[in-house]
Amino acid sequence: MRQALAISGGPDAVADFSLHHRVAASIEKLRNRLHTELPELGQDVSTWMDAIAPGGEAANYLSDPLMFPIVQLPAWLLQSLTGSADAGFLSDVTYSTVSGYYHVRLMDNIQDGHATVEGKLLPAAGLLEQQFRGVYEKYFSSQHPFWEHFERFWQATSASVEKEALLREMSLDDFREIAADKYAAAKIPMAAAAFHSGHAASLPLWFRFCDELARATQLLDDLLDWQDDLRAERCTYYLSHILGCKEGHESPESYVFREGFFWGLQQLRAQTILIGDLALELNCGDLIHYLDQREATLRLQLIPIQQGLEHYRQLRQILGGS
Amino acid sequence: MASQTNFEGLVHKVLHEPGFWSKLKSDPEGALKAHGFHPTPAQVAALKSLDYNSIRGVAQAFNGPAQGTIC
Repeated sequence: MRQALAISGGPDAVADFSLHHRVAASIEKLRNRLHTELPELGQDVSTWMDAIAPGGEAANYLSDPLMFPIVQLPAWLLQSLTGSADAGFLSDVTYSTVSGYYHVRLMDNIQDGHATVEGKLLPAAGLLEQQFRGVYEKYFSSQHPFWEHFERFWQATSASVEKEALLREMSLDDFREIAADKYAAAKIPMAAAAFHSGHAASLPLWFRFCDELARATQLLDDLLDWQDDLRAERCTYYLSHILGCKEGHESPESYVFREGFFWGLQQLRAQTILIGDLALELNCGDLIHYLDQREATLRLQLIPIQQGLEHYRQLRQILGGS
Repeated sequence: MASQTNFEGLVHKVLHEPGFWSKLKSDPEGALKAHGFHPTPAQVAALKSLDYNSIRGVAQAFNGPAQGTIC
């Protein structure tokens, strides 16, 4: 997947600057850093980075069209606001983002019960956070307004995990706040790109887009992972709806098959329309292309589910169930 | 046809027991009678036309490993 950006450094630089290349180079740099700084633990962290990627390769996972586009967002912002991008700056920001991603993922897996080896890897959290933060120290002095954004978004991401863990039932307002805050750290590289290019005034609309995309991403995740969430007793907006709306005698699964999944799809569709409208306002060709690609990928995943549910509905009708 | 509880139990079997849905497709009457249901000929014909694989595909999609599409 190539990013159609005007990169300083000529056509060869452009060819080398695909999203996958940028992510793979950052991951490699991070692995090297881990091995150097944490000789005892580095290999384990490196192995874990691949292990948590569904396809077994970290770089592919972070470039996947259904992943939240944490790496792409600052590049899109630069493309839209300046028509070009500084390759060195984007490489640095990608490295920071990749490091920050693994820090958040490490803490999140421990908090939400997905942890396998993460407890043992906890001593690496400090190094990951330092790699995330350190890049920006190169570009912004300690008094620069960028740091207010950094602290606010970084704090919001950490606090959202705790806030979610304390809930037993999630309202729509809770969901909107927690989903946006979970991804708030993605706004840090966006803020960096905007300040670095002198376009900080454009940030509010980009931040709003990021929040709404975060909600769409979380809805999708909750819609597909509801069984896993139920087993692990996690609290999500979708699960709260299921448990609140099912009949007394009915299993959560039966309600999802009968009605709940379609309800979830409706919420997802409304959110998808909203992010599409915002993307048009942002006027970024690559972002719109990404959303089209994301929707097509999603459709391929959701259509068989919808078809199966239609047959299930017929089965219930034939058998005389409600 | 039967109580709501039996109906839910039947639905659970359709979703999670491959042997049961195979039987439901090949011999709907026999499969249902064993669970207290007495289908009409029209129901039996309609049951034979259903795509049980697609229904089970949904159960498997929801039961698979966490999608983990996000941060």
